[in-house]
Amino acid sequence: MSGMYEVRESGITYSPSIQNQATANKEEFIKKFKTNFTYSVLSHPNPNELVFSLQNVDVSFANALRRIMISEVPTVAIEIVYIDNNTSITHDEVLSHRLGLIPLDIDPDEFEEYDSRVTGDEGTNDFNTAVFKLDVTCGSRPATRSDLDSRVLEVPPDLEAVGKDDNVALAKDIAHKHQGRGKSTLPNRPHTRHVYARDLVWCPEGGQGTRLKRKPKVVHGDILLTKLRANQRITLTCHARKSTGKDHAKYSPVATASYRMKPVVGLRERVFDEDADRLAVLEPGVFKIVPCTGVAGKNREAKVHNEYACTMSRNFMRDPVLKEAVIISRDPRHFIFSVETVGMMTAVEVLIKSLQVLKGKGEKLKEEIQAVKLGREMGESMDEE
Amino acid sequence: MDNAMQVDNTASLAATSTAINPLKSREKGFCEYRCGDCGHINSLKLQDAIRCRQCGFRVLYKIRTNRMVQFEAR
Repeated sequence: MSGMYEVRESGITYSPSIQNQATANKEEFIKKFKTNFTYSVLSHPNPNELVFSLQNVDVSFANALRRIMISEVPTVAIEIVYIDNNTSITHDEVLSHRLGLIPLDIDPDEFEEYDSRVTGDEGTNDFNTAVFKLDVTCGSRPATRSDLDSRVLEVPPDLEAVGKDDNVALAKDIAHKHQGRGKSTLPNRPHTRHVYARDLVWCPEGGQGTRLKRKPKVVHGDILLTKLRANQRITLTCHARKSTGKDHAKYSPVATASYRMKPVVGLRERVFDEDADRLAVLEPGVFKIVPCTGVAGKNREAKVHNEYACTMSRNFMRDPVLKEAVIISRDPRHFIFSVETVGMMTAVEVLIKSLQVLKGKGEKLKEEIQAVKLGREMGESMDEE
Repeated sequence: MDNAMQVDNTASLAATSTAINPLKSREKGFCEYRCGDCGHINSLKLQDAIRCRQCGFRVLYKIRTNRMVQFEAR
């Protein structure tokens, strides 16, 4: 099952190895897996990022893990938006969509999935829904405009007729300002209210106030949802529900979850002096130039220093000398995973939960096989009768 | 996008029947519009110039329904 993918000038070739053949019985397989499997953390710069390696596992396992992390680890996100008022320029549909994409800091374990078979509002309770409210208004503009801009192109002769009584003075003021100068003050206009994700207020329903250990809130408060001009208002209520990434991408806990096979870099022959310098430039970070000993007339040579830095760019293959000297390949049983979360849960949590989901899938398969076996036995016994 | 649904529960119906219809002012022949710039609510007649009384802005918007509208955040 092992082997190596050699990366050539055009395409890749697979060379299987004789050892490490597929094992016949499951006990032997499990024993072999347990002894060979290795997990190590390569980099964990912050709670949301994790780079780790898995050794001696199949591609099927690595890919299952990746797919589960993207689409089957449940999270909570805004699903339904009830808009009471929206006089902003953002359409209701667009605003709702933007609300849905906000990552929420809610522990999904404290919620149940909303049962879609129950239609209407009857299925909503404090165990499957978190309620957020948004009520923002932009203050009204003062009666006298101080920032009249070039937009008012002409002052109609009947302007005084437009404004009645008290408005006459105001109308004159507008006309006066316009005639004075067509100065635009657009870049820093007053009375623009920015609506951020932090304006969403969580409203505890039922026993949520005491039941939830982590108070629901948005992960990033500074997500701009829309902007309001004077007297514009948004009043709405959101219902957040638990679901998975295969339902909608907003539920995916990860921004990226990807893996690559570990690069293996080797030297067919030793690379010296200028050739070594060129190699270090063409494959940055992979090779180290060390002083050469034992070979007459050679000062320095290239040594493989960090295989992980290899981008598989094959740049060195354009050089006729290096092309023959260096060999790059990939190890199909060694995976470098890279997980970056959006912030609803940490990268380690995502990894643990994805493994739990995978285990659950295995158990379900086992149960189903048992059921089929049982059914077959029952059928046979009935045939005998 | 046709996922918007008018919510027709009894509570919102009762609210609309008692509230003043924002699209029509009490005075006959007047209609209310919101200024696109300052947000002032203007009552205009059929023959009136389309212009805000407060700031002179020429873009006026029809006032939104006061019913609640439901959307899917998708």
